[in-house]
Amino acid sequence: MPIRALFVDVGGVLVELGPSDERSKWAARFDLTEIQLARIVFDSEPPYVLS
Amino acid sequence: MGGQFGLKEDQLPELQRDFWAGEQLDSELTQFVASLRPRYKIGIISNAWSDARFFHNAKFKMNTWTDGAIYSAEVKLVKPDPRIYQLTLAQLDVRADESVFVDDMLVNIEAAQALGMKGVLCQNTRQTIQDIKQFLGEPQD
Repeated sequence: MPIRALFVDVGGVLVELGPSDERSKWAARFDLTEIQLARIVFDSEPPYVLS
Repeated sequence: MGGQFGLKEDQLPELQRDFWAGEQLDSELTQFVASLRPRYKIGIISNAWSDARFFHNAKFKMNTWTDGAIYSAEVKLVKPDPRIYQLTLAQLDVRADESVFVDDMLVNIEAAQALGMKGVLCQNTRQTIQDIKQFLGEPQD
């Protein structure tokens, strides 16, 4: 079957995180690395979505 | 997510703004994906906050080089729930076995493959482009 469409994720694929002092501060506040914070944010949803 | 971090409701917008302040497109991958149109339909499937569509379209003009987009917060479904893939397939009017799905999380790829979509696990830009080309039958670099 020939391919007709390409579906792409955004966070971590099309969009990368550049340097941000503000993000570093948030990560430190939660005792996370920036990568850990990014992983959570990229794949998080408001609680009502998951309920 | 606010509950996960113990944030108050009014602190979430601040985190969102600061978190995305330094985000930037992978220009090489984006240009490659955009270049596939109109031969291929391009869709977005994103687990993201409810205002992500606004940010992506305003900052990256994502709506100008895609044919459709499904944002989890808008449809109340998140990857790897098969229903979010089915919604996206229906939006672009293609069958699962006519599509390739790219994500950086294996669990999301496996869910797409279970529906019959081809899967590309994004580990870096070059590998991702090469893997997409392979599925599309495009010449490799």
